[in-house]
Amino acid sequence: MHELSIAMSLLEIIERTARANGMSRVTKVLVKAGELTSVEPESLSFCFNEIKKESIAASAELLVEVVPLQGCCPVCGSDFDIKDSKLFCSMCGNRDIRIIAGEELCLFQVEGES
Amino acid sequence: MEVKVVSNILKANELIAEANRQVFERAGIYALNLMSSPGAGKTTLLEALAEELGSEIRMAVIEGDIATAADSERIAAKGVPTVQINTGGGCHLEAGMVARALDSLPLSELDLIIIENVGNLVCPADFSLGEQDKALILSVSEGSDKPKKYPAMFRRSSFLVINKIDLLDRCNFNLEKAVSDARSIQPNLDIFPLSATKREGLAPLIDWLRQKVESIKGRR
Repeated sequence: MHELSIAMSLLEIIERTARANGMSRVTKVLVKAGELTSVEPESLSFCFNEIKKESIAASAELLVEVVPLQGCCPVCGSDFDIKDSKLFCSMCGNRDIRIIAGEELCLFQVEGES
Repeated sequence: MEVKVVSNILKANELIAEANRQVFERAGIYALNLMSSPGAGKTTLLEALAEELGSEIRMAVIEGDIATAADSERIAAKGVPTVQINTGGGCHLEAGMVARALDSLPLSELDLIIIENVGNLVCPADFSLGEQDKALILSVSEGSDKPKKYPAMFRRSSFLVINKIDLLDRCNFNLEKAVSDARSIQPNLDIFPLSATKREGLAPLIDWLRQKVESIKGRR
């Protein structure tokens, strides 16, 4: 159940951000979770809703946006979507590609009232 | 009020992992994060490596398990310094646990640390421990469909051990497909089919590790 430790780190960053911006209450939080991370949005929400209760984010709604995998080919320069774990360039077939999206796990936005 | 943040949620772990990385680098230690499902043969492979490399390379093992010291006792019996971490339900090791384990190892007397992660084919890939390389074991009894089902673990690994090849004729495992699927996810993956229990096919992996250890020592 690794989502619990992720939810705890998340709450910590939210509390820090809220304080730095003079918020008294956090209302909404947006997290971006790449397809290649092991985060299950439902588990993360479940854990977050448990641990937020005594915090500045007690009534905050957590939205988790799953970021699809995207690659970039260093040979032909094209960007493309990666489907079904096919980690090769869909244009020229090169297999040594770079992943440009879908590996991130970040807090993207915090909404609140001052 | 809306505040754009874009802050890495795993940053706290990554900062500690970076500190671990520096500890390894200063001591000239090659650190490997060994991952697999439960029962794929991590500890058996470590026993075999301890037998083969223990007299030549100064190695230590950090054992991650949810509970019990059974695995560290098996490794310690081979004469290799071992630290047991019990995660108490945690499904992966985190950098802070490894940092604490490093406190009880004689770092200046070591060339190689292998960290055996908690048996799990999902989340260990997301948590850096400060290792130079991640490696994965897939055993033939698990089935050849695993690379496609768990791509993150394969993508982030430097080598793949395909273990229990002595059971190939009894398992419905397509070795060719497993190799090509794993390479389609990570083209630079070195692949070592072997049987840790039978001590068969270990030589290429031992050479690989020997080279890594030598190249790190050369930089000392």
